[in-house]
Amino acid sequence: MAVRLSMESVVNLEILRREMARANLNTLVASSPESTFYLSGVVDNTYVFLRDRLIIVVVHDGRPTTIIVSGIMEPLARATGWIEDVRTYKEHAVSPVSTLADLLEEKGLVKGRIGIEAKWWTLAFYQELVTRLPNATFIPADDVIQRTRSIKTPEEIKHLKTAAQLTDEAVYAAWRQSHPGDTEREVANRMTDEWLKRGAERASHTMFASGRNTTITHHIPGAKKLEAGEIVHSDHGAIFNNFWSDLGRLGVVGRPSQRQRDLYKILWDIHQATIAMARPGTEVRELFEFARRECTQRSIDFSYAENCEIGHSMGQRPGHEEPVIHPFNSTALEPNMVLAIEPMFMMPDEYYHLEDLVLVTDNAPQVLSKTRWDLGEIFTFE
Amino acid sequence: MTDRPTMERFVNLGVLQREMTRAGLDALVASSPEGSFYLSGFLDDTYLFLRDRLTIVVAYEGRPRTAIVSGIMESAARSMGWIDDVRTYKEHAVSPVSPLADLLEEKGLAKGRIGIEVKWWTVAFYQELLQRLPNATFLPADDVIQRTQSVKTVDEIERLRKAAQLTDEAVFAAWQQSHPGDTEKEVADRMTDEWMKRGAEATSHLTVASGRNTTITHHKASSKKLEAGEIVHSDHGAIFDGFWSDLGRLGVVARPSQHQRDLYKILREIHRAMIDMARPGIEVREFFAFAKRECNRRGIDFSFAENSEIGHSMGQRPGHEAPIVHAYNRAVLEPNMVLALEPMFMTSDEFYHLEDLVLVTENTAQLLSKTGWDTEELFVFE
Repeated sequence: MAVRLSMESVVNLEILRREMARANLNTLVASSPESTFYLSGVVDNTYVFLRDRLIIVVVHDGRPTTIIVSGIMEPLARATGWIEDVRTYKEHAVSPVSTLADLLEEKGLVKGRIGIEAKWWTLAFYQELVTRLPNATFIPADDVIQRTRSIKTPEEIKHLKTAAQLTDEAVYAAWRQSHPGDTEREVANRMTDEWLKRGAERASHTMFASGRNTTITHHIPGAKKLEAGEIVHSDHGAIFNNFWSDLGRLGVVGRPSQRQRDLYKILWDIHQATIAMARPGTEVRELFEFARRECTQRSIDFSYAENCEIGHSMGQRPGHEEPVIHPFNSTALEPNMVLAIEPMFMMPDEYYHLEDLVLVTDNAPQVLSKTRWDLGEIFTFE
Repeated sequence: MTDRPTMERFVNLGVLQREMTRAGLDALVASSPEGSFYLSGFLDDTYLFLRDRLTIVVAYEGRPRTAIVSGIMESAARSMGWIDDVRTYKEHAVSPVSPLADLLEEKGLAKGRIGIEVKWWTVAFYQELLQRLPNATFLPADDVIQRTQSVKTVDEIERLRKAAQLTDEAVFAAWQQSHPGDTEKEVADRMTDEWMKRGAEATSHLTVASGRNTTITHHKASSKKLEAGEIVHSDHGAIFDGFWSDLGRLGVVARPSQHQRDLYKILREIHRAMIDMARPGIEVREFFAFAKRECNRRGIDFSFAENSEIGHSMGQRPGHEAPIVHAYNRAVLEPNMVLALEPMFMTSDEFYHLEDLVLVTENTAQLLSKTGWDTEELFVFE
């Protein structure tokens, strides 16, 4: 269903050039799923779990110029991607690293500074690369790609917004069809059904839990029934036009207790205030510090979030992108960054979490995931 | 939906001990999704795309004994997995490599021979590990885990059989409800719906292509309609009880031409013959040589498959496991290995491919994906 996009509409070439120049790179070699998809427009879901079948995109002279794929992936690369120079390797017979080395030699790029994704390249492939090109200088350049990806183009923003809104509408519809006594699995299936109906290619993740199950991070929905008085939590997303969504919603089965109502209100207030902080110049750690302070002030245990993060950017395929909202990240926000903001706290028997997608603008932030679902009050399954 | 499993039911400890001894390892560090899931019973789908949130399982003194996970994943690791010694790290504050180094020091293994998955460890994490443990000897041990995984336990075989059969029944039901004029996307959504109804937890992969789209490997189901006379191809799988399926099916819209019937018959014969060949003692490359020979002698172009493989083993999470059925693989089949056998060929405008799951036994191979769907004749969308 994916609409074919152009390189200029998705890849922020200006930032890419700026970041490559800043890192003093002649060449950039991208090979992670998220980066190669971003730079080439070629999206192959199976690459996430078939990691040996390398997809490599080489950037030089200011733009992605060559893509290297397995021979069997050539038709997809040509049909869906925007890079014309497609090179292939024969799996098991020729290593993709060898094709990459040939290309770098052919283009005279071996003596320059070559950026690679050190957080993606495996030891095995890296050793092969160093053996083939002993005189090349390889520089970790994960942040060059991450910074480029962090500033979204209007086209990317449009797709992310559509994905978020369609997902939210689907979940709202599914939850309204669900009732006390339904199983977690039944509700989760209804969610899947509703987003497929709205054109999703597939779910990216569906973590749906009720009652004590909400305290198990990334719980897989099971045969447990929704019982009156229980908190229901879902962290979910789906892929629309190659862009994914990542949202978090809370509900309660039947009537919420006063305590659940109070905790939800605290969460909602922190969520709103954190979103309002997403303006150019703010360091992302400030969002974290704010949420921590607000919880601590109200004696709410924030230690669960301290173990991870309360938000992240995102783009095409599933994955947390930079900037990630943790207490050690002093990245300053810029216009056209997007953030999935997700304050959370864990009580002894219930988990509280909301997640929405926010666009940083020159002025007030925009909630891209806003639909007619009013989150001011906790959703009730009736 | 998953009963809490035990290590003995799902990990072939005898083979693990044999392979570790053979490689002279004091400890084995598994951190890939497939390696760590297999050894711990703890599965987190998001690990496929959140690769920095390391899950590490360490086997020493004959069995997996310690799991290292992010603090937020502790609840899930304890409720799903069988390892009691669960250690955690605080993301962004402490690198996961640090508790690993602490553990190896604590167990007196800092100068030991430590097996790691060099096809998973990134350059970035490996450099950190070397700095922390300069006196340890790190050895590539991907094959230790792969060989262990390749010999399945009775429980693994039952789960794989169940996943394959439920998937096949779901697809058969979905295809029977589909008709000429439906779009690829409609057929794909029906398939998803049918396997979710049968208890699948998620889709692992799903491609539905018709006509010329079948020549685009991993094409995503689109708004293209199924037109009379077109070949329909699907490569698909879903996850049931933590185990995935991977099957390939072919159909034709309305009436098949004589040419399509003939080609399907050839494919089916090769497929059947390969299943018969799956016996202990055979080298997997013999399958490849056989299929190649059979195609060549009938004047069918086999070059598409030459680029890749015509089968693989599989286990819990999505991913091709060893042994992979490619032209150079001399691995010898043993009883209780499973193989997804998938002969394929590409004509100028259509792709022919069938994939089924087979168990190697002492005697005749067993077709694990056998259901009421008789694939002897090409399926017809009517």
